[in-house]
Amino acid sequence: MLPSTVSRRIAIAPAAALAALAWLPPAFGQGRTPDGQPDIQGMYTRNGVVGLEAKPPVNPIDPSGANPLSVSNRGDGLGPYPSIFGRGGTVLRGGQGRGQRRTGIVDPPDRNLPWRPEEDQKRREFLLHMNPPVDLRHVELNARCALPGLFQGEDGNNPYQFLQRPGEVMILYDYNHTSRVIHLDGRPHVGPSIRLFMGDSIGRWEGNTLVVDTTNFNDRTSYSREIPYLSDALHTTERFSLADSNTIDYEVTIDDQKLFTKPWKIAGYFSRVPPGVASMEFACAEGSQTLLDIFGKPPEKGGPDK
Amino acid sequence: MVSLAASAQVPRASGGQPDFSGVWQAVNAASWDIQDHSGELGVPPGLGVVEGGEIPYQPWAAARKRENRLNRKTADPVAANCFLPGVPRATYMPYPFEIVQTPKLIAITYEFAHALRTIPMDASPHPEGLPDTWMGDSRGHWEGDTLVVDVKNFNDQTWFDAAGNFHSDQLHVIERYTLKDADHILYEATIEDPKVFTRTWKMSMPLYRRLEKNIGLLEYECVFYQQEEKYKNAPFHR
Amino acid sequence: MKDQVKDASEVTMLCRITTRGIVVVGLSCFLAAVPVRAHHAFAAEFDVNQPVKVKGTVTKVEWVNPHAWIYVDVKDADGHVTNWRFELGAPNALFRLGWKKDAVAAGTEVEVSGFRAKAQDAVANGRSITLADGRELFSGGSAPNSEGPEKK
Repeated sequence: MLPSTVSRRIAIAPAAALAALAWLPPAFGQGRTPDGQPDIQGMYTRNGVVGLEAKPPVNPIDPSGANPLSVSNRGDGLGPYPSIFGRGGTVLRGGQGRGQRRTGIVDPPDRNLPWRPEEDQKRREFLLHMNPPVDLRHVELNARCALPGLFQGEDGNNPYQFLQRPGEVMILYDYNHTSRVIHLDGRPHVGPSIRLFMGDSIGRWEGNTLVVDTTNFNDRTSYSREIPYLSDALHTTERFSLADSNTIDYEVTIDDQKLFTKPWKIAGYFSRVPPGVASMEFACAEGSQTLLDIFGKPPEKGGPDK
Repeated sequence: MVSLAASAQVPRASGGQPDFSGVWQAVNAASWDIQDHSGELGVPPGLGVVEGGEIPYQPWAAARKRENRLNRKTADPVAANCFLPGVPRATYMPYPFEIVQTPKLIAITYEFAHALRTIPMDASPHPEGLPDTWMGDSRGHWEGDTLVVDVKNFNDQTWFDAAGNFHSDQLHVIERYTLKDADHILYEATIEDPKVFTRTWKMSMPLYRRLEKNIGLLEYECVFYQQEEKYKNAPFHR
Repeated sequence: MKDQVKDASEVTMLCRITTRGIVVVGLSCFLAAVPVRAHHAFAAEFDVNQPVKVKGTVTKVEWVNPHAWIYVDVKDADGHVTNWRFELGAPNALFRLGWKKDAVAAGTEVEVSGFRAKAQDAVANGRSITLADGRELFSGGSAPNSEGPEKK
């Protein structure tokens, strides 16, 4: 990691770029936190996590425009999903880390997901009613500024930050000012009546791999545009493995028995961003016009204030 | 107001500073009204948290506050829209928050609307030309055992409470966190805004550690719940 | 196993650190480009075959998520003024690309390049703006090459 004397300018400046050139991944075997965890703290981009299955249904919000369903229903050509978070998104590229990295769906290797056939059908049917959305339930969760769960998060321009303290790893997503706590103190999961967008995460270190078990998801976790929902039976196991001091390999086992006959796995990696990049506020709901654009203003109820 | 006794034994971080990490919550009625107020339906009564009692509005701003208060059900950005509450209101919303303290950065996550603040502790200045923010840009440093956080770069959209107390985009807040003992923080927020007030003024209150075993923040997804209610009959047939 | 590339315009080289137009190649820069599956619908709304470049005076910048917008008064040869609206990246992306809050305030003379909206006049997806002093600021938006100068 670079010394803290490196310039703190947020905009990437020539001095920082030169310093970044000197930012070589040192030999593996980096520092530890005071309580003995491998120290992974810092700012990263996340890469390559959400991947396409082998025979995906037509994406209702298809960027290529080839899908007739993706044509806007608004005369001005700008809705109902006006380029939500539509960045090409490479402002914060970090280093790649050495070697080829695994990304997207890695198990099963042929990317044919083990759908329960009736659930696959239901999901394909659901997609047909998302553009334009026939009701609130069919509005993409991202467009509602909902918490992104484990899979969404608008990578590219929005970094992730890892913090550690005794008994806890915290992951901050710039995107929608999201935070996740991974408890390392041996506590049990919360009870089954607590349902969460981000789930409840209990983790442990196995050597240089942080293994995280997450349960208690609500039924509003979205994986991708082609898999718009997972169920509240979702149970994930994540492995954050230090590849070198600038790269964390990442793998998630997705076990959702309501939708799939067996678990499947996706992979990606986190790579450190250049020094001088700090987290920034990403206020989502405060500026969002999406539901207004889609459905118009809800009818007033009641009269003026007294 | 809040008595500042000599600090008892407090937890300390590896560098020797007091360790504020943990889950905390204010226990007062300030988020409804930061001044003395009686109860009304849905509003608990409260002693004010403003030192001296008075908020020193300029005359135009006092009139605006009265107007805000009349319109508060639709004009309060938190009650009407579930928007981010700003600083210091986020501290005294009736929901817990978590402080994660590391040597170079302190993060504060709030259960209400999953609000988030990151506080660099590296003596960096507020960056020039940042976009305006709801929760401000925070920079922290130590003064002895007190954590001092300087917060600037606000927009003018947040209120200090649900009663219409407001500020401009010139708002500058200086927070001071001091551990009275392991389970109590003495919290002070100095408010400076030359566009709105005639002088600086201050709020103060204790913050209480949430002592339950296995405590952690849950989710209060106000915006989502509001959408579910407002748009439950969408599409609307007129 | 690589993901399918859905749209060629989404494939970007990941290994550059770009600073004010100087491309610095990162040390680990020997991987093939990895497709970026961003949530964007650029092609549904804007036409990459209709590039546009206008010169005019900024009337407003809205620094909002998910997209900032810049409004520019453009005078044609007859003196008729049209107010153009360009979609940019998110405010945080803009800041990280060098845009400061009041750098492009109302009254600033700019040249804006981008791609026209398919179904609307005087609306476009902005790629970059050039200021009077020659500096080019990229939009971080969903248009191709919005993060830095075109690769030669």
